Formats: sequence, structure tokens, C-alpha cells
Amino acid sequence: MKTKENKSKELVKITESDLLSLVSAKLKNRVLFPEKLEKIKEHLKGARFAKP
Amino acid sequence: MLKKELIYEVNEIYSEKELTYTFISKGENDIIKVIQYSMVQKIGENYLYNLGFGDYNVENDTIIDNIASNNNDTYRVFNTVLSTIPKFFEKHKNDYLIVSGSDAEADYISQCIKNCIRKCTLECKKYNRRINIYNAYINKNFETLIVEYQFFGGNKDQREMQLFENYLRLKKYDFVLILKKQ
Repeated sequence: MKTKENKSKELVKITESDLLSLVSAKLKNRVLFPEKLEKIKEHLKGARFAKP
Repeated sequence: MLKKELIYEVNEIYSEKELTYTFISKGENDIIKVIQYSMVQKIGENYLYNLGFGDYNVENDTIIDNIASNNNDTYRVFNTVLSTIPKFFEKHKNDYLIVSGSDAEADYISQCIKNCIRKCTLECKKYNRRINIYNAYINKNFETLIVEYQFFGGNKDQREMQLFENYLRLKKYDFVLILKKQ
């Protein structure tokens, strides 16, 4: 009887700077903290500066 | 002011609306950190940007900004975040930057208490911790920082509206607004 072959994901070694470049490419043009931006906008509604 | 050996090397991605930095926090584990300056809104002729900061999860391509990773390199990570602020102002000389903590929202305490190991009683010790670290840094280096930057502190007034004022050293603020002096 044939047993099912378990293939593990192939791992490759990359340098830290290459890893960061790959991550950077994935993150390009993306708003990463959309919820926080919305909350800031909400907090700033009606915001004002105190007179010195 | 910031020692170079206490800062991680960052990778920069720049686009019109966002300025993003990535680096690897090398504490107990290697964690990819992300700093992003994103445009919030226009103020007069200039723009207001928000400073966002969190962990990047490679496996599911998500960002987490509401938990402390406790990687035993807090100050090096914090210094790295701070080191990108002058880089931001190099590109956005006339724009405003707003800084707040992701642990300052009203629902943070109810979320934090679920996994609390600190046995907090009267108040959550992690609540507002991030903005308190920024405030502490400004307070400590105030005289040097005000040569180059103008600071405003923001808290809610009695009508629950944000009220910004010239930053008063040692006063606690929920928001810090920064502008580079010309």
C-alpha cells in the first residue's frame, strides 16, 4: 500500500536586509493602521488650540 | 541624543501618502516591526500625519499594534522609532505629526484585563504606556528638542473635545503634536 507523501515547505535562507526588502515590497502603498487613522480623525473632530 | 548602537537599522519605503520603515527587533525572538507615517488630513496648506507602529506577521501578512511583544529590547525599539522622526521631517518639513498610543483607547483596558498577569487593581498599568514613554522622552530631553521642534499636548476637555496647548513639561497628554521649526 502506498503511503501518503508529506511534503514540507521548502525553506530558503535569506539575509535580514533581503527579508526587510521583501517585506517592504509587500507593504508598499498600503495603509497599515487604518483603524488608528479613523480613530485619530474622530478624536480630532472639533479639536482646538488653547490660547496661550 | 540617540546612540547609534542602540538603534536598529531600518528599511525605508516612501510614497506620496505614506512613509514606512521596517526593522527587525532582535530580543528574545526576531520580530519584524513596522513604523508608518500616514496622512490623516489637511490642515491649512499643510498635512497632518499619524505615527503608527506595530509588529508585522509574515505568515498571515497582518499588523498587530495593540499588544506589547515583550521582546526584552523595549528601549532599542523605542529609540529606533524615535530615530525615524527626523527622517520624516526631512521629507515633510512643513507638516504636522501626531503621536498617540494604541494602548490609549477606551476599550484597551477591557481587552487587556482578559490576559492580565500584573494583577492590576486600581488602574491598568499598561494603559497609556506608549504615550507615557513618548512623554517621558520629551520631558527628559525637552531643552534640546525645543531648539528644533515645537510641541503641543492634547487632552480631552470637559466637552470631550481635544484641546491642544503648548506642551507643558511633566504634564500628561494623550496626544503629542509635533512641528519642525523653520
